[in-house]
Amino acid sequence: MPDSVSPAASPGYNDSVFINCPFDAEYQPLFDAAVFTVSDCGFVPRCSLEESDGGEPRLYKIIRLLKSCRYSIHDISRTELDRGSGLPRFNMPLELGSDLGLRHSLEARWSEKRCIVLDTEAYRFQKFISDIAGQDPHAHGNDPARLIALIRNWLRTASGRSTIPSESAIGKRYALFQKDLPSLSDGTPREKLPFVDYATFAGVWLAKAKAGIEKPS
Amino acid sequence: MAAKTKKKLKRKVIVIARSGGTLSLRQIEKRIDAYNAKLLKSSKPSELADREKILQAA
Repeated sequence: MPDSVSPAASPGYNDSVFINCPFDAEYQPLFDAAVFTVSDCGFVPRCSLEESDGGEPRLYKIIRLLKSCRYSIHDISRTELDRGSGLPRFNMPLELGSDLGLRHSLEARWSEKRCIVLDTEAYRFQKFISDIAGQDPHAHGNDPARLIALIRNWLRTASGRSTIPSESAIGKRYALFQKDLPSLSDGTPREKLPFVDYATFAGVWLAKAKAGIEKPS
Repeated sequence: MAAKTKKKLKRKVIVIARSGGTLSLRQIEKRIDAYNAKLLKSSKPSELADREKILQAA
């Protein structure tokens, strides 16, 4: 791989996939699988964890990211009552709403945005966001393998790209990557590895894997 | 993999690496290279062939 890369390089709108999902420990296996799948399909995974500008309100940052990504993955499976307050957590649906609002705004440039709505069970979201009834339900059942298939199939259809690998190929590579990661990250527990580092490990590992095992220069 | 595709992948990767994190892109590349070199030395040819098959699957 070449060592020199243009400092002006920036993620292309058509290659960027925004991942709107929970960041809790329970969701981590699904999040990791989603990030890896997006990378393996040849896209750039983006999420609100990639920057930490404390001065910018979180929603503004998310809208800025939504504007820089043609594709979005919205997992609303954690829209449930908070144990402490007894009130529902609505961040994921709010971000989904922002994306849909952008897509259906009067600005034609956003009309090509594409998104997938994921949940644990099919049709569950219609009980709390009935206005989006009619969207195809995509239920992952908290299973990373199922999530990989859903994201892969959606990206294949939404982008029309024929270069996207099969679900089976992605799944096998992901299993291998999970096995390699503890050694690559020098034993750093996954929960201590920032999103940016995880996504970069996945991206570089995949780039090198697809180029073939070779001795380091 | 075609050089053009490799360059494109690299460009995507650097974008992520530039926007934060505790490790530089170069550090991550070095770790992966070192790990791959270790695998080359310590693995049986059949294990390497199996690995290669998975990595190259389309």
